[in-house]
Formats: sequence, C-alpha cells, structure tokens
Amino acid sequence: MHDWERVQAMIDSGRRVKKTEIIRKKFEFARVKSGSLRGFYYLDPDWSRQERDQFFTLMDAIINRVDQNDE
Amino acid sequence: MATKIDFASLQLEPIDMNTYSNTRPDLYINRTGITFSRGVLECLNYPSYVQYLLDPQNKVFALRACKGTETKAKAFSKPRGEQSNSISTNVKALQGALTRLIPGYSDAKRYMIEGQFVSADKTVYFVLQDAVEKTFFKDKQ
Repeated sequence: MHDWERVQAMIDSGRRVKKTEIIRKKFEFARVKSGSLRGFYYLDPDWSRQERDQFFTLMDAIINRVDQNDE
Repeated sequence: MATKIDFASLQLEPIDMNTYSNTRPDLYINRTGITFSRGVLECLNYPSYVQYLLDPQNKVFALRACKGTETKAKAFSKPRGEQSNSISTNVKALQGALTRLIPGYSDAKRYMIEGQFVSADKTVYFVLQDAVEKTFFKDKQ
C-alpha cells in the first residue's frame, strides 16, 4: 500500500471514531449555610430517581466514614 | 333536685380540641412512607410550607416551618381548622433517606421517633438513632 493510501485510511478511520464518553450530570446537593441548622442537607421530594440515588450514595459514604471514625 | 340554670344567659364558647389535645410531635416510618403526628402540626402551628432537612453525620432529621419563597420550601399543611388528620407522605426521597439512618432497619417493622420542638428555630428535630420499634395495627389483632 502506498503512503498516500495509508494516510487516507488513517484519516478515514479517524473520522469514524465516535465520541462514546458519557457525560454524567453531577448534582449539587444544597446545604443550610447559616443558623442552628447549618450543614443540614435540604431533602427535596421532587428529586428525580437519578438525583435521589446520588444523594443516597453520598449518604452511604458519610455514614461509612462516621462508622470508621467510631471504630 | 336538679340545679336550675338559665341557659339563655350562658356565654358558651366552642372548645378547640386541637388546642387542648396532648399529642406528642412524633414521626412514624414504615415500609410505604412516613407520617407526621398532629403534635408536629401543633408545634409548628399548621405551617403551609416546610423544609425537610437532614444531617446524615449526626443522624438527625429536621422539619422546619418556613415561607413559600425560601429554599426548597414544600407545601405541607392546611390551616388549623381545615387540617383534620395527621400528614403522611410516600415520597421515596424522604422515606429512603430516613430508613438508611435507623440502626438495624427492617421493612417488616414500623418505627416511631419522638420529636423535639425548638420554638426559636420553628423546627422539630428527630434523632433517628432513638427510633423505637412499633407493631403494625394488623399485628395487634
């Protein structure tokens, strides 16, 4: 195969590469910023299933961290 | 002999049973949802809007009466005269978050947590570690 053909093949293959990276939406969970409830997370009954699951994951991480500190 | 009373001269006033009821601010959690007792409504003075707040680190859930314009304010109660029952919700975000913080939680059980009302914050606090197991009504029969 000539160099020119190889270059064309490389260019073609490059064009066919699809961007398969999934951009996952990151949610920010709001917290109380002042007063006696400072640091509390706001629970939102209107969260989507995805948001809800992400919050549960965050909670599990916090609970595990607390349990490890207690041991 | 019965005492004679001039009923026409009496100035009777209706007794508001809500005011004099001795209900505690309790929260009930079971597999389908959560219920706030009438005591919670009494403490917070039947708020139209509340904020649901959670501190996972200290395992504390808080219910704060607020204005409808505040962050994450959610509709809650009708006015005193119109709200005849306790308030229940089956929102999974609430139920799921609270059950995670109850030690040894089981779907087959029902839990009661006594709230502590802090009037300065207009908030009822529930310490989820203090959850007490309760039997279902059908199990009592």
